[in-house]
Amino acid sequence: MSRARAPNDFPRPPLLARLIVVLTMPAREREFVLGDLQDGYYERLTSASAREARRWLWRESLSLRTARWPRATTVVEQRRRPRERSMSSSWNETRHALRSLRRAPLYSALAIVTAAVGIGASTAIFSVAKPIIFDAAPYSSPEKLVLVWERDTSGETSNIGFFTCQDIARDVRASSCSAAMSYWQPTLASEAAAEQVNGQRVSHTYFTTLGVRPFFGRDFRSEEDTPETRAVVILTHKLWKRRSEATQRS
Amino acid sequence: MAASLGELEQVVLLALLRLGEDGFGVAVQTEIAGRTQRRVSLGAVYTTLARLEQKGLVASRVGDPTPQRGGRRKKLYRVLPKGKRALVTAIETLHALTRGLAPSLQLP
Repeated sequence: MSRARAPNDFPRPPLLARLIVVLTMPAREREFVLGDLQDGYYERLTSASAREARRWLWRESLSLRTARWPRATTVVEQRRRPRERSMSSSWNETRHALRSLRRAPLYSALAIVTAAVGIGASTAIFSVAKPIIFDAAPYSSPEKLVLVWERDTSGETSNIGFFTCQDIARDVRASSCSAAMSYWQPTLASEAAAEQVNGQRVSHTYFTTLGVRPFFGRDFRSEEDTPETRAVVILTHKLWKRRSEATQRS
Repeated sequence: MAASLGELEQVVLLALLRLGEDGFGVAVQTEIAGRTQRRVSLGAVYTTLARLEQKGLVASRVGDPTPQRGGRRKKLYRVLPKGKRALVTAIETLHALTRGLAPSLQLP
């Protein structure tokens, strides 16, 4: 005795192909088209091969992207008043675009989210790149600043020795002011916690060369450019504020 | 005056006539492929059916769900008298224009 087969007994087309159909067509046609696709898929599974059935399904699913579906607004459009018919074509196209978006809400949502993520990512990257690549350095005469370094025998950039810096400061007539700088990562320790920060070890003319003045306190002095004087620091405003707030809280 | 028909519209209308009351998207595609060896995409079939319906040449109704379709219903199409008249006009036009051309076209 044979038993009627339930819908779930029949093989279903691949999920991704069905998803493409769902996302690219108006909801009111979806049931009929998905049914047709499953019908055709099943016919080819039984009469040809699984490979042929899959190939057919993918080809047809993708062909649906270009299909034009019956418009639900036909009657309304036929009754449009003459004045409305003379509306500019751009306004008509905007309305058509909005109607198309409304007809395929899932597809529209996907497109909008994709655009939003793209715009967000571009904005984030641009806001990071802008001050580095496009904006001038925040100094009084950034176009006059020159960075000088040495190259070692392998061609890699290398630090300049302190005495060479002194030679440059004394002998190079083209520069009115020069300063030495190297990167430094000190550890700030307190009772609560220790923290490593990014700093620079600089000669006393550093801020004069850049053309900036400390907001609070004093600049470095020439007599402090000796190995014996190690305890003079100028904090960035950001670090000073963060540390002072942390101290106040504790 | 009967509506003028594009070539694919004629093919789809003829396939629908052959299918009787059971014409739907994938069946139309199969009918065309089986009789003409011509591959028409499902997207093109739906587009043509929508246009024919808009022109008032075919009418659609919703059929019953079947298990083979995952419990989904069919959208069934049938040719309306206006569609048949448009087909007759298209065939008559073709006959009128091809009359006497059989030797040069090498028609059997």
